[in-house]
Amino acid sequence: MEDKNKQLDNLLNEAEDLRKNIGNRLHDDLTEGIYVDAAKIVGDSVYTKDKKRAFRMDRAIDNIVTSRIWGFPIMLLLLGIVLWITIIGANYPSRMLSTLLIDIVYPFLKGVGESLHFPVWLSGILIDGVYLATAWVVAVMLPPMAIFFPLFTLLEDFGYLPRVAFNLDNLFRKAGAHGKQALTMSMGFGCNAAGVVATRIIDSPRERLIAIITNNFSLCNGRWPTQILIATIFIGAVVPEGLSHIVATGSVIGIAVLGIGFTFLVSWFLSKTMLKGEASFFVLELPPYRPPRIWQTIYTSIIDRTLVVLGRAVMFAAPAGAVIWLISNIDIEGQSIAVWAINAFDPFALFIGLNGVILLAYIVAIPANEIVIPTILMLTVLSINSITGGSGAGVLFDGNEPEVANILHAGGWTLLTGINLMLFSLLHNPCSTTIYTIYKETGSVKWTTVATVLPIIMGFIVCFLVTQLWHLFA
Amino acid sequence: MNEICNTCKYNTASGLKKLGEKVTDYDYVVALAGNPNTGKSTVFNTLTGLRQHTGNWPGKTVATAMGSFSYLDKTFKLVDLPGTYSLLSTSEDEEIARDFILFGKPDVTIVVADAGRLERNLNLALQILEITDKAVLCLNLMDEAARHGVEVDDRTLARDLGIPVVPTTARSNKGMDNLLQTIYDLAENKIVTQPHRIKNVLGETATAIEKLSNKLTDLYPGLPNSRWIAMRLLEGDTSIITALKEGRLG
Amino acid sequence: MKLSDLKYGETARISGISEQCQGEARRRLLDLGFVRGTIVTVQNISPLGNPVAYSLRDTLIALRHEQAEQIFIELEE
Repeated sequence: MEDKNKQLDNLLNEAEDLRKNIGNRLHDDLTEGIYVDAAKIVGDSVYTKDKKRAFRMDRAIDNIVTSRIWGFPIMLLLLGIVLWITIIGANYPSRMLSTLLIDIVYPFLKGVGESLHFPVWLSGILIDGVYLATAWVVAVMLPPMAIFFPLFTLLEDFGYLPRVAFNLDNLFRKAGAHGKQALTMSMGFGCNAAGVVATRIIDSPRERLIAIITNNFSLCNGRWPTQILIATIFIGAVVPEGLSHIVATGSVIGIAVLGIGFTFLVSWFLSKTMLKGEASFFVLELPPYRPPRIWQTIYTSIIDRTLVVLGRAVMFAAPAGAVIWLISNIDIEGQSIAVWAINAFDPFALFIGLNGVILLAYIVAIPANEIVIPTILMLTVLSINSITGGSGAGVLFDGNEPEVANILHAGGWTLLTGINLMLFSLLHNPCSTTIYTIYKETGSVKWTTVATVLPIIMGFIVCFLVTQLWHLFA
Repeated sequence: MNEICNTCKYNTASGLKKLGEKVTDYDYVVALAGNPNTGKSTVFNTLTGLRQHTGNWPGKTVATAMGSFSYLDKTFKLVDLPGTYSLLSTSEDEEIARDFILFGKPDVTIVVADAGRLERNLNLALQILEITDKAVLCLNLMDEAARHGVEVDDRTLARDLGIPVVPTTARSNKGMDNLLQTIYDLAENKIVTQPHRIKNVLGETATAIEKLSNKLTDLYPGLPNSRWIAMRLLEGDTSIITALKEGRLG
Repeated sequence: MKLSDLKYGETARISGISEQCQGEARRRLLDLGFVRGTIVTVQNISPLGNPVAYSLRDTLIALRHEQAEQIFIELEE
């Protein structure tokens, strides 16, 4: 045994000497030798028929898709098409789900509660709170995701997405990030939580964190309805009838583009401050184009992405529903907690161009952007009437545009409020599903906090500046 | 079956708990290696019946998955290693992959390759053949190769590589039975392989590897992969040095 | 001559990697097939000029300018 140990030490010493002698050439020589072998083996057993059709097609597609003229337009067009199909396609199913879960099942459950003699608070917490919030999230979240994710995944399977990273890398490199962030950013337009998970494709931890923290500035599916609604009511209303639709749509697109702008800005900022570092070794393989298996992809992407995200969202929405009901129905000295909070937030909120209802809504609706508008509506009605209890308190609701417009105007909303809400919706903290996902992906409390707090602060600052400019010019 | 698996850092307790079973419950352990973007995940899913999403994005599969399957009278645990281009670098993925094949001593290692773009894939394959004898080359994406007009003479390839070669198109389930049979036969030692050893390394590196490799076999006569160990020592791989000192190798 | 000097559609043979490029970056390039003797062609250039996709050994690898600068080539006649 002793002898063997000594022999081993000798061997290890000799190895060390040889290592110092050869140095870096080891890897060079080794890999070169391997490839010579590989080339010979391939020469023996692989035959390529002269340039078959598929091979030339790959090149043809690449030449168009990365060309100076067509590259960018094609990317923008594809993203636009995906988003458009998502929004239009989700409209009808969302309404159907809404009708089913809220107009039919909800009253049914209330009836069940009554026949079981539920006390008001139990029926309130469980049915008005937990069930309603969850139902809302499902109705609004599920259809767009069930469309966006499969579409996106099909593009991915086809092999197009690495080309997007290839086209945009220069911009990201200048911002201190990686071209693959283009992909995670795009995914974020569907859902920020999924976008955060997608950052796994970025190898460098530093660049991955940048992608995670900035993913929030991709306007996710859950925020589109809010943006469209507010844009229609406030911005569309100040232009002539015929133009209102175009202008409203245009301003929502403007917000989305602004979000992309912020992504680059904040990436650059992070890479100069908190996430300083060398650009990582960049390598990007462009795989061959492969015809996707459409049904398989749709199936797996729905299970893998849609249902997982939905599950997490429901997990967070349920308690939030309970909280919303409770703060609206528990009163202290004649006022519900909600109204107390609204009044307390108002000074600061008005200062930056929002109002107390909005701030409170964003706090309790942190689980999901989808319930922000219903919460705002409910709280606005609550604060106007300023009474506790009653069948309306704590019960989320929605309405058509004129109804919503009425309520908001009655609540003191102006065009400025509308604009600021659109900005704040873009720039506020990520929803709790995303925050949770960030924590799971990074394992770091510090970075999760940064990712959560940075956008809010930006939101406050931007709203404040817009308000100041508004008062200056208007 | 493999006690080494219980101590391997790669074998996380949480991963095992999720599957609800221990390694010792299986007859054989099979490792799944390959370049990114070779359809390795599809092979994994097809063998284990899972439905994890796979995508045409190089390097997408993350923290590796474990699954299981049974064939004839035996049960197999399948470990999906991270997709890597090589085993020689310092990246975490490559470390995990090579440590598992070397220390984990799987009973069979499947190397998944893209049939239409074999040359680069062989870099990894040839390295793996320096570590383990019990390997099979899964020549996947045969449908794509056909589309591009690429034909592979798998018999010649098998002869040159010294291991079985199974052409497959995992996403249409073609060739998978053949693969399963080959895995079974390899595990049961019904096939004996004579894996190709890297021949064409030049100059001083070649001499150094030769020298060290011989000394290693003198010291540890049973050591099957002395050339690989020699290469790692020349690299200064501390985990190998420690393993030698602790007697975990040879 | 450097790989970054190669123009669209041109082909060359790799003669080595610069001494300045070491460690992880060097190994990665070698592992991907950028070894001495490999034939490489400029296949695509990004619309913004950077990175460039190189075709080698039946694969398509995109490198940024600063990496391509560190790979030496000889033009094929």
